[in-house]
Amino acid sequence: MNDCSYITTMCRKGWFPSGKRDLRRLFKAALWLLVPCLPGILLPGCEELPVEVVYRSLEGASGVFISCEGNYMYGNGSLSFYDREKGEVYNQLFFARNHAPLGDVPQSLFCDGKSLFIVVNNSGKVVALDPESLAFKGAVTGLTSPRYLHQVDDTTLWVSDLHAGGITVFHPGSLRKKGFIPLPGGPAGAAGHPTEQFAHVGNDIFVTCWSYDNKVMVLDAVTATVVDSLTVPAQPGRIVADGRSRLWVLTGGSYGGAEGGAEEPALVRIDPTTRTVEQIFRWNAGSDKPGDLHLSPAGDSLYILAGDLYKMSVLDRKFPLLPHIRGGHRTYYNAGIDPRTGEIYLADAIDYAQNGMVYRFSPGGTPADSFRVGINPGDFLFR
Amino acid sequence: MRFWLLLSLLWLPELLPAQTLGDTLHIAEVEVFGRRRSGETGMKVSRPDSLAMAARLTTSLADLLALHSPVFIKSYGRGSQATASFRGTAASHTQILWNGMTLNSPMAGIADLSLLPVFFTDEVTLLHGGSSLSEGSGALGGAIHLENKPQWEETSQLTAITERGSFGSWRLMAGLRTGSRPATRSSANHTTPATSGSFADHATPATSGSFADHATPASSGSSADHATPATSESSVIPAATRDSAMTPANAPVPEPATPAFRWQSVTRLFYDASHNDFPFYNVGVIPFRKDTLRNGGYHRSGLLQEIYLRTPGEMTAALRGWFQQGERDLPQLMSYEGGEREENQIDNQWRLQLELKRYGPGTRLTFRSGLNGSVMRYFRKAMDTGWVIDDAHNQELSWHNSLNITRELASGLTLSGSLDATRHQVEASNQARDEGYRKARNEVGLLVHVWYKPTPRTGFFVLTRSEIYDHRWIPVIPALGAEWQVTPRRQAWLKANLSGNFHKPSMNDLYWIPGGNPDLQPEKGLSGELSWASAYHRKKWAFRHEASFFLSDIHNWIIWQPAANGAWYWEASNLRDVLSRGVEYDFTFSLNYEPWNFILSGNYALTRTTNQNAVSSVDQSRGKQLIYIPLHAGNLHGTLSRQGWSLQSDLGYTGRRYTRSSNEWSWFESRLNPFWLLDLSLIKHFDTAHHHFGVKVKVENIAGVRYQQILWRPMPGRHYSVTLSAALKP
Repeated sequence: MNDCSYITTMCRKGWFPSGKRDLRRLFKAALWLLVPCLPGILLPGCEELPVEVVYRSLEGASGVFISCEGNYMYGNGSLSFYDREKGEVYNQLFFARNHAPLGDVPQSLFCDGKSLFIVVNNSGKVVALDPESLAFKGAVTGLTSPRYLHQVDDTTLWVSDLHAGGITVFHPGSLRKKGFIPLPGGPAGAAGHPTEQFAHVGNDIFVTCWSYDNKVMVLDAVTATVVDSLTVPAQPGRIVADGRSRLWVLTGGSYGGAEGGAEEPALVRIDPTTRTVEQIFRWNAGSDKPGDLHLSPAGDSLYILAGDLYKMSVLDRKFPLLPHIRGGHRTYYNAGIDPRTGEIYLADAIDYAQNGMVYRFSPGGTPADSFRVGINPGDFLFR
Repeated sequence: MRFWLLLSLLWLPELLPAQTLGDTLHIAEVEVFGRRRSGETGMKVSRPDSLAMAARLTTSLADLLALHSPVFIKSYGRGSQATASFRGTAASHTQILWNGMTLNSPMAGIADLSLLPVFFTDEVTLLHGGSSLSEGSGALGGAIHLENKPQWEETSQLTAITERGSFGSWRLMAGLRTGSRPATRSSANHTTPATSGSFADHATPATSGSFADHATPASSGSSADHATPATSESSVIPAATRDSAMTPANAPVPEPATPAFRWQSVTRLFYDASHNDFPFYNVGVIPFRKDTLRNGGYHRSGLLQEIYLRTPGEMTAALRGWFQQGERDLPQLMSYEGGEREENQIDNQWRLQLELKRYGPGTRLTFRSGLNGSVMRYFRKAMDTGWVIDDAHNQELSWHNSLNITRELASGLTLSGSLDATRHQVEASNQARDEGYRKARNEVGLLVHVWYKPTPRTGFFVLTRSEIYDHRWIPVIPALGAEWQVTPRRQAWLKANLSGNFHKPSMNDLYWIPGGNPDLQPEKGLSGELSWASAYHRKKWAFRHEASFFLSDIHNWIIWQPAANGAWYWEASNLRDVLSRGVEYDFTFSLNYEPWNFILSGNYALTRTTNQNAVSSVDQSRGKQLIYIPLHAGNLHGTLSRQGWSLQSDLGYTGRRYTRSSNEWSWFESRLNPFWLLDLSLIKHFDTAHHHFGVKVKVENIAGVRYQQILWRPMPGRHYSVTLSAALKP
């Protein structure tokens, strides 16, 4: 049986339409199916195209890098750059240059002039890039939960870690690990103190111990050994050294649960010379909690983000009642202060699940402009 | 374009019924077509057919539903957590019920479908949208009901299935059914013929009157199965069954041929383990490289024991015990290059249930009491420092009680009332941080459900539920619906229903430390649907399909996000209003052309579920699809059989998923592009009167598609499995 006769046979058997009657039945059958599917056909909207990612060399550009955390366990962190002279913003720069994702929760940025370092917290690594071309230079891997970097000298970088129980030391050029500074103690069951941010005063390096801890550890910058520790209110995180060489530490407080016993956040002033706590500013229960702390370029004022942005002189003995910049309906997530101009950058996470906004203000709090970056803008690095 | 292609594929079978075929029809005892129960009047209820159940017997419920239902399964990979998103809602908006007892965790509000083996259930029923209210509240998307039933016409059967697959995968299922023999053949006729699969079966005693249809596949007549092609002249249904199904409640109830005390015991065991160390190409790190999934292994095992008793006095009793343990390692994202972690989760669960049913003339009384306990341990340790970062122990114990009376008040008019009382007791603790909470919750619910079928072509239902929990009273949760057979000679039905619903915050939402919010309001939903179902049946072929359009508006949607007051922890809040609408479509076509047999089935879901209440002017999430819910998803299954040989193909399509509420996506998120997966299986059965042997060779993801269900979580390429099955019926 050749192909044609086979088809003829199939038609005779009624498998294929072979007359007007069959066509009518076919049409009816199609109609029976089509009618209930109509809403489905009409409902789909247009699918949006991906956001265009264009690589730009940053050679000679002046502006600010912004690390965007993305969402925990989504692996959608990113790197943005705002060119302050051109007023342009470039997003997804890491992917655009290197064709790979940055990782899960880029926590902080650091630049030693030769490399731009991005600490990618939940990817357990520190990524090094060329600061101009953003080409991938390498990574320090095998870390537990890295948070922030601190340069001790030209050949030594320290990286704090939430769950390593100490500080990892590596060479910024070769990216080889040089050592590990154990910080025994910490919360019950921990392998050591959970380290967070650094402040360098004289020969001492102060490091806050954030997660479920209440210490500020003091290390000798030369010997890399613990020389002292201070007890502060629960969960010290941000730390800055002002123009008078006083340290300011922002603590997150603790959650007491249904039975109460919560400890409210606090702003703590420390004299680094005597290594003593000089003053504690406590937040009132029920008020918006602080999340970020920065210094003015002159080192004479503090910027505290607590829903609104507050400005406070380092000489003040009281927390300001009125905000410097009101938050309104915005969800201010982090802040950055341009060390050259004193301009204020406030990151709005919106709903924490879409690309965030950055609002730029003059040092006096007057709105300048705004631009959209990646999800959950976290750290600002000016250059 | 893909949508049209998919739609075109769905049309193909519709063209075939236009023909007339001769010869005889022989669709074996494979239950291809769905069945309906009288209490489902006006409701959208569907069931994966028995062929699908048989083909997926060694898998989890997540795999079954992903391929054979319009429910979207959000899976983190093989052996990892899998949750159901029904009609675009959250995982907590799908209730999983086991013989009427909810399996959702009272702490998290969700159920992990990867922990529920298909082998442990005889029937899976999907109650879409407001139809779920007949079983309980809280299912804003829908409910999935797993049932176990005795099979009175089968006295003994021993079944064993073993499967070896790629990546060190091994599955073993074993079952033993034993019990007293039926006294005479005639009594067996009152129940239904066995469907495929060793443990599919039917619980209703043949002696009852109008409720016999509760267990009748494809019975003819008025209330049951109006959407199935097997309804009219199906030769696979014994006449006695059809008569029984049609018997009105007030008519004389036929005496059972030989009333006698009977018992049955069913024992099922399963073991499922895999190294799950599949290779993948890692594009999440620099440089890209060939990689192997690490820390992805799992193993789980379980025992289900059922004991059924049936007395001459039209009473049945069932005692069921389900014990299961499982442990799985939790792999990292592809971009992870950190220190070695030990991260795993242990899930131990046990369930006990007593069920009593009494049948009288036009009346059925059902009492259920059950305990559902679970212990979950999540453990995370940094290996290089030995720091135990998390050591969370969650313990849950729920005691469910339910009393239901269903009575046919007049011809076609039936009233059903249920009183439910549940107590949950939970304790969460994290020994690594000395955190946790301990709480209890009492829930009482009252259901009144009336359905009326004044004529064989029309039906209505009205339902109202009232609930009390945590001193909060939800006075009325209403639902109503109707169905209508459009033409008397054609099996074409139009159904519509409208319902309210609410979902209680989970106990973690309320009490978790830190971030639980005791002031949370329940999520409230209003939903409606319109369905069209039709069926065609000729000598050689049969076709049925059903399409539903649904609309659902949910207020006070609970989400977790960083605390609004800027505190360092996340908290639960009633933040969103979500509008979900879409279309569900499914069809089954079977063609018998001796010696060939062909079955084609498929489903498609178009789900548009959007956030409606963006506040800020820069918030771009208003009107955008919720994350990880595809707009389009569908499946197509084909089985070609001939003299004991079968070739099965499963083609699945998953549309784009977004990870941003604004639906923007970057090129690196193109990993979440739409993807097609094709599986092929070749099966050979050897059957004798008392033995059955089967061999199945399966190739999954035959095209080696690189895809991701969840961003930066790799999925396996082409992989293989061989399954051997044996059944012995003395």
